[in-house]
Amino acid sequence: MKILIISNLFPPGFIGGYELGALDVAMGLSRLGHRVTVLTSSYFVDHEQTLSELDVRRTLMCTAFVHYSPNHHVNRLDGPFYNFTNVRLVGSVLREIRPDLVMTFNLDGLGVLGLLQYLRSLRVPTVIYIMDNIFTGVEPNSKVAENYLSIVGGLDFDETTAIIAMSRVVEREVEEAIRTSLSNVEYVPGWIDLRESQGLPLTPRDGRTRFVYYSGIVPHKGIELVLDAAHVLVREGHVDFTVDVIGGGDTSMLLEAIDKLGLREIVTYRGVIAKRDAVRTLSAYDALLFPTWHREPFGFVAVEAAAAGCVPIITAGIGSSEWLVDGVDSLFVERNAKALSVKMLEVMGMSDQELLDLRTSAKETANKSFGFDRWLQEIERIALSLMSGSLPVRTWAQSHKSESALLTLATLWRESLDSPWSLRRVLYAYRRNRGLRAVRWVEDVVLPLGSKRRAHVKGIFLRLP
Amino acid sequence: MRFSHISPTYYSADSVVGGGERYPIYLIRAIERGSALLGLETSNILVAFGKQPGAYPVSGNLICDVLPGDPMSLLTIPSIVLRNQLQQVDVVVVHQCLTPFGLFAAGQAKMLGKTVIGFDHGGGEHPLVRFSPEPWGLFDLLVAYSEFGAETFRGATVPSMTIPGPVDTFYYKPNLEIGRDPALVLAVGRILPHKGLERTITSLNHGQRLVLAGSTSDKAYSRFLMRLVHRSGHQVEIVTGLSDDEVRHLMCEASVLVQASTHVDYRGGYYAKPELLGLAPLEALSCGTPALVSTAGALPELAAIQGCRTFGSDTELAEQLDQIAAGRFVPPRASAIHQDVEARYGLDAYGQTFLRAVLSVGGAT
Repeated sequence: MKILIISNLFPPGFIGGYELGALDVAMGLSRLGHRVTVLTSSYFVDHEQTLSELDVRRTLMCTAFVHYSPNHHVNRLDGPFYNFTNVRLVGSVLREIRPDLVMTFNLDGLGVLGLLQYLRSLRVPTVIYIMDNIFTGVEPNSKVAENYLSIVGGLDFDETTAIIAMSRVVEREVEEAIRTSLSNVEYVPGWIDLRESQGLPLTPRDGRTRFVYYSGIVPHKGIELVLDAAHVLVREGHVDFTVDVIGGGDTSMLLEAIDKLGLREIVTYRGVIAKRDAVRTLSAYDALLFPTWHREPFGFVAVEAAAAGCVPIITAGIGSSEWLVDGVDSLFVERNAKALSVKMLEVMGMSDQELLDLRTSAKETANKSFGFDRWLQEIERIALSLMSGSLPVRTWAQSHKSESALLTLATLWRESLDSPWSLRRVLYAYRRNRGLRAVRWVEDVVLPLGSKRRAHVKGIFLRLP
Repeated sequence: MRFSHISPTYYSADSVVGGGERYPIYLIRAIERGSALLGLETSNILVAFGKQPGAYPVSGNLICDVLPGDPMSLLTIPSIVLRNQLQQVDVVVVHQCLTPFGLFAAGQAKMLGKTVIGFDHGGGEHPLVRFSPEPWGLFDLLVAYSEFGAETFRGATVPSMTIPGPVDTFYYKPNLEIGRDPALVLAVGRILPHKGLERTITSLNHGQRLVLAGSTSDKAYSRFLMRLVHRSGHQVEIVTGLSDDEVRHLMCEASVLVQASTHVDYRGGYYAKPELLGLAPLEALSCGTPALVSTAGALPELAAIQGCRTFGSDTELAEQLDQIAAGRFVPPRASAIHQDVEARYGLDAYGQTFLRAVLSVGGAT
């Protein structure tokens, strides 16, 4: 099977689990004998050619992640809605490789709605892999989104599209963003390579319970809650625990907070550890602290911790909580410092055997439910189920036409966002009121426009017959 | 093959009824006749958008489904309703295809993978058509009905062709029971400045009387004409709201139909496409009535038909009207004129040519 994977970012660099997941799937499908081509942006490059076994093309324009200042002007409509260049680039690759299937990962910043509508119009079998809300810039009920849905249209998926979601949390968020009920949804959780956890011993604690925070040092992942919870425990006289912090981000804030809260003896920043060493690293701890935001689509680190025998303490309701069982292989917590401190105290209060049993249970769940090979087969099955013989030849002949259609509809949409006296209306008014009345129209309509738009209108008038 | 004809104007009292609206009706009849001759199964639906939704009988058995929405304001159109309509057909014929509404309808159809045929009836062009080749890509075939009209598609990157007509030669035919009135000069059409009706009024011979049959679309122009009629002292009658049967009767009765359309109107306003075909003179000719047409737009192309003459100026028009008044102009027999129109612009020939063209670009496949 020839598969085209589209993702806004693609390793070797990464920002989160989405692009790493895309890499795992791409490599996995390639190992299963499929011909995989990846189309992504040039945000990350692969100078060392570490991914030489894949055909990776880094030509797309991504406005969600840019190297220059965030204040730099970026067209706010391109990323979430429609980017002509990306549609055309995808079209040219489609015509070149004629894939049997397209699999999309994070499309944020690529003109996500337009790209999906384009694929839909071609009826190319498409798997939309949702590990996060890819429609973040599509604000429901905004004029921009309303007008887009009205003029260009919505995402009415049909039998040529399958959706893989990591959780119902992310599925619901996507549905709210595009105001469409998703159908044909399959659920695949985050995964780990079970070979990474094989043979790792569960080292018992030595008097102090070892907690670890292994995520970005950013507020929404809950680092501040972890520090506050530790502070609560210390204030109550509990010092028989440690918290190691691993990850990149706002380290100066972290170190300052550790100092201010008097947690130097308890909390230690361990720097950044490569993702490939995550399971091995986590195996040295009793429990993971992951009080992340409620909208966490999944949280790969939870299953990495479970595989390492490190009990995941996670925010109740996040994506991975749909796959774990509170009190059996993990612990769920309300997202506040007090609740987290209570949960930490609960772990600290367990006997060594009780804690060992819980860690063992977490590891068993991981082995049973989160092995990558198992889920790769499931992903392949979903992909194959979309295949129903070769595509009709017309699909490829239609691709240029669909590009033209999208461009035209998007142009009409953008015009609808102009001021009430849009350029379109001015031209229409002009055409309908040529002659003496046109002068009055120009006075009434064109002159009140800003000078830039006025010049634009003038330029168009001069080109009119 | 199932056809959907999408037209921005909507066949009601609130709409503008000119050639642009009549054309889809003739096209549908031509498709029906052509498919019968070619042994094809076809069906047609006519869809428009308007402030007064409903099913409007437009001609014969033909119904126009008017859906809610203002074609001049795309945001008022529920695109999902349009897509649901388009889903049911194989071929979408977009009338006024270069207007914003036309591009919108064509874009929706093309995103659904339909075969899209575009017609321009002179309703205007979206600026994108001038700046980018992409809008052409919405269409599989562009059809002009005159060589003049084909100029619009000169830069098109998709196939385009000219099929003259059609005109309903079964409806518009000579009627020997109606006697000719040698003094009756007829002008038919919307009363709009680019129709150049003042040219006919001022060129009229004193022995002739002129009937202007049409609808008043421009009050200032109508007032201008009334003042002109008053000053000229000619016998001129402006009649509005006539049925097709009444207009046809006038066509059979008149000694000549004059179509004096102009690129530059009485105020100096310029019109790039005053006539893309000239449906009124064609209908008159089909009735066997001679026609005098100006050189504006596509009108000179009608001069190939027996009984049709062109004039380049008001002076020439006056001379030709004088000839007719004096009986110095002997037109061909009515049946000969009719047969000539039928051969060049008739429904049967048009329908077959059109259907073959649609099949060549994909049709229902």
